[in-house]
Amino acid sequence: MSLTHSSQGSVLIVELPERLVMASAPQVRNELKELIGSQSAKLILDLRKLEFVDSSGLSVMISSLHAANEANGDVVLLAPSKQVRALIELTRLHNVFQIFDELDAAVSAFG
Amino acid sequence: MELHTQIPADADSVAHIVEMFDKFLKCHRINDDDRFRVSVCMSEALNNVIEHGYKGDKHKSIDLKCIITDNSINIEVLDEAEWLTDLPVSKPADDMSENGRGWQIIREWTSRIELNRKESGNQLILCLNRT
Repeated sequence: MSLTHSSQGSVLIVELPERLVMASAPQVRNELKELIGSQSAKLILDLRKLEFVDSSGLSVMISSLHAANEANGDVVLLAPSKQVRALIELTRLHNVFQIFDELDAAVSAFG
Repeated sequence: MELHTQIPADADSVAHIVEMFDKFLKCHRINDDDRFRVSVCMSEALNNVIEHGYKGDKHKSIDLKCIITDNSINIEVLDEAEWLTDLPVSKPADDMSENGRGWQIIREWTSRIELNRKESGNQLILCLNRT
């Protein structure tokens, strides 16, 4: 797996895959850490294609936040589905991540 | 309606079987929200057996059943791990913690959780009300 990513200025935008579960979590976790280290710690996790995620996938998101914070950056989430958003709110991660419906608003969050 | 299968205890098999059961639920017109909740709870229960029950032993297997009734969807997970003395306590994870959310999710999204000791191991039954 190789994560699709792009940039807007200094902000890195990474698309998460359709399914993020225990089987795929280690590789996605490593790729995100590598991208944060090599490209930018201002990270938008694009959830528009993410159809299914379990606690292993949520763990990957938190892991990327730790890596970004260590590099004085941050992570925001873009456009989770209704079901994914319900899981994020159930686990109180909406208190940890800013969530945006539009890409421009997410990019603007980084000033 | 019922679907019953046995899978090897590895993460790839869990990913595959959760998708297959989701298709089964979709065929029986279970709505998107309920299918998502069932799939997440199923995934958490199976991952828990692999990680904590079998401690990564891929030679073991897990028996999985999903039963659709008029009002609920029931998941039954039968493992061959050591007997659990009780269900893990649901401790809401620290907001920045990377782990510890699996049982929190199961407890929040199920209406009933049952743990039975069987000769071969543990039987976990999760009941989710249909919406």
